[in-house]
Amino acid sequence: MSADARDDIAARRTRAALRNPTARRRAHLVNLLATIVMSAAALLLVVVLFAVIFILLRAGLPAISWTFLTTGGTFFEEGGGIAPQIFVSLYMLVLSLLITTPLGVGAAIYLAEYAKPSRLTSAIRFSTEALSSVPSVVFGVFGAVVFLSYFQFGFSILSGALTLTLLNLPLMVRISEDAIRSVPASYREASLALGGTQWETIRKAVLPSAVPGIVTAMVLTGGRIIGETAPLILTTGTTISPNAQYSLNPLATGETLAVHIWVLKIVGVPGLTDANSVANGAAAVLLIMVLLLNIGAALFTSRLERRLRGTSGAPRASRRKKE
Amino acid sequence: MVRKSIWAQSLFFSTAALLVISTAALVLFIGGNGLQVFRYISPATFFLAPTWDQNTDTFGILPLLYGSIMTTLITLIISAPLAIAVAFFMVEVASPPVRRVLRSTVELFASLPSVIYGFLGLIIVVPWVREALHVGLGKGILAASIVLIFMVQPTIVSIAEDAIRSLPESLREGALAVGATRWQMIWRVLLPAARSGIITAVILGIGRAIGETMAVQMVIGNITSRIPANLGTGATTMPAAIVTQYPETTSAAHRSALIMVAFMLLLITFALITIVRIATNRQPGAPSASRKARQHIAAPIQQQGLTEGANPQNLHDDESAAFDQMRSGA
Repeated sequence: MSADARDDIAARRTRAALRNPTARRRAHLVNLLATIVMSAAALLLVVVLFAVIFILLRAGLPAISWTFLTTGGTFFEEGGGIAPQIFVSLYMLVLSLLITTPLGVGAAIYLAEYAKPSRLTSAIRFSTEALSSVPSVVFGVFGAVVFLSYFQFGFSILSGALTLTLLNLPLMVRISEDAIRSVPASYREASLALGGTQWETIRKAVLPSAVPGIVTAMVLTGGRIIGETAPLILTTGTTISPNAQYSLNPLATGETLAVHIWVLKIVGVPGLTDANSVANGAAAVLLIMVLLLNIGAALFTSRLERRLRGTSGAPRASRRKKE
Repeated sequence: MVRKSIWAQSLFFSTAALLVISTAALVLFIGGNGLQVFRYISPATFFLAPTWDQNTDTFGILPLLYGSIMTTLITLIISAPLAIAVAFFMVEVASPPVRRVLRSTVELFASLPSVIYGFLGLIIVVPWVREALHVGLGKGILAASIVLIFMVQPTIVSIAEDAIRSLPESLREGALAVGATRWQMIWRVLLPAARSGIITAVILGIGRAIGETMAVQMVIGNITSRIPANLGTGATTMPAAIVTQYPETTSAAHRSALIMVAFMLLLITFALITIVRIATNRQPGAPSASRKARQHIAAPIQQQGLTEGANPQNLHDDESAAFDQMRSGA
């Protein structure tokens, strides 16, 4: 049978099928079913998210009080709090961001403003991609091998902060690079035309406009630092020295709030009689901190976008192309 | 001519180079320390012994590998279709406000710390598996998979959504113009066209599931000494074993065995991103996926028939029944 004849038969059959009311009704039925299934899948996600938040808050809110947030754990009596763990979490957040931000923004400036296509540039890009997909526990093992044993920092907040820096650098670089690239080319051209060096251009024309994007990157990174657990168990440890609970010594051991939840639920703290209620409260506090950081980042980004749309004369399409 | 300041450039270059150095150091330190394990036990023991027992210094990776593979497999079988359905819903069905709600939902899922997932798994999923499904004591591979199903959603949904959204509008117009229903358009035209993007999404989901540590560790029971008898008895995965045992290692053999497990995780991750690179690099040249998609759409228009466009690979029982009927002229 020739191809033409086959096509002819196929076309005739299809036309017949399209006229066939049973087939069309069936196609529409399947379409309806599929739409229902897809909607149900989407609805499931939304419902589960709300259930998660509801369950965490219902279990945790009764445990939260001013004392809970401002005192340490008490042993052999109820009513202890999580203040030392919150302190370590915030200290970790600040210390790790202090290291991550300059390194990440520096690398982002290089990639956005200086890098030319070369084997080295693609090695940098590949490394960023590779680092961003390595499981966090592998960074924990790396931190334990390098910072604890090799550099002899021991279980310490510094070891944890350095480990988290490696973990978060790719995210920081990616968002900052996007922010720097989206600064209109006209800013650079104006600065260069006035005789500025490339460094002056970056410092005075490009970076100030990229600051909001960089802040967004910092907030998102902060959310990850607050919630990260596995690498910290291996690098900062699971205890806080009882006589230096609010120590700023970076070489002290620490236990962040997220690690504390794990310790309470899995390892157990001898003598802590209300461990379950403390864990519920701690989980709710952690959830609220992470939600606030993410909502903050989202609001910031949307305000930023509105501002950029409103004032920037240069359309986004004019952003500098990759050389 | 742009005047350059050498010191500024070299400063920024060194921060960027730090990324390369970190990656190299990661491979060297973990690989170097991990491979030491073969000074204490033979590769045959490490890869083939069905037990991981620190009391007898026997470190066979099979129980860890079994747990990792099983949790990932069960997770993906449920999670991938669910996530792809949500992605199609977001692009093709949802109105803009609904889509915004879904996008925020997915972002919030992504931002929940894994210890929170583990906490919820412990207070909800584990008792449910024990009491409603009667599978063992509850802690095990099944509980871990249920938690992971929701943890990998953000990864798969967001990447698949991007892939579907970036398909040319002409594909949709063409499908609808020949009278296809929305589902026929999705199943026969968009799904094959977005295939490489969706495969990328699923592979990255695999990476997420295989590397997840805390949420799994909290609900899987952490029994490393044997391969579990069923999905509800204590088991372990590679990351869970590391985080459980590493802080309390006493022997050098045990420590290097755990580092070796981390090295294998690292290699698996690199293998996965290499696959993704190959899958995505092939796309712009318009071979496999997109060309097939164009055939799908071109055939009906030119021939007024869907016969040539039908790709037996994509035919699936119920959903394509309508197309089958059209074809056979029943």
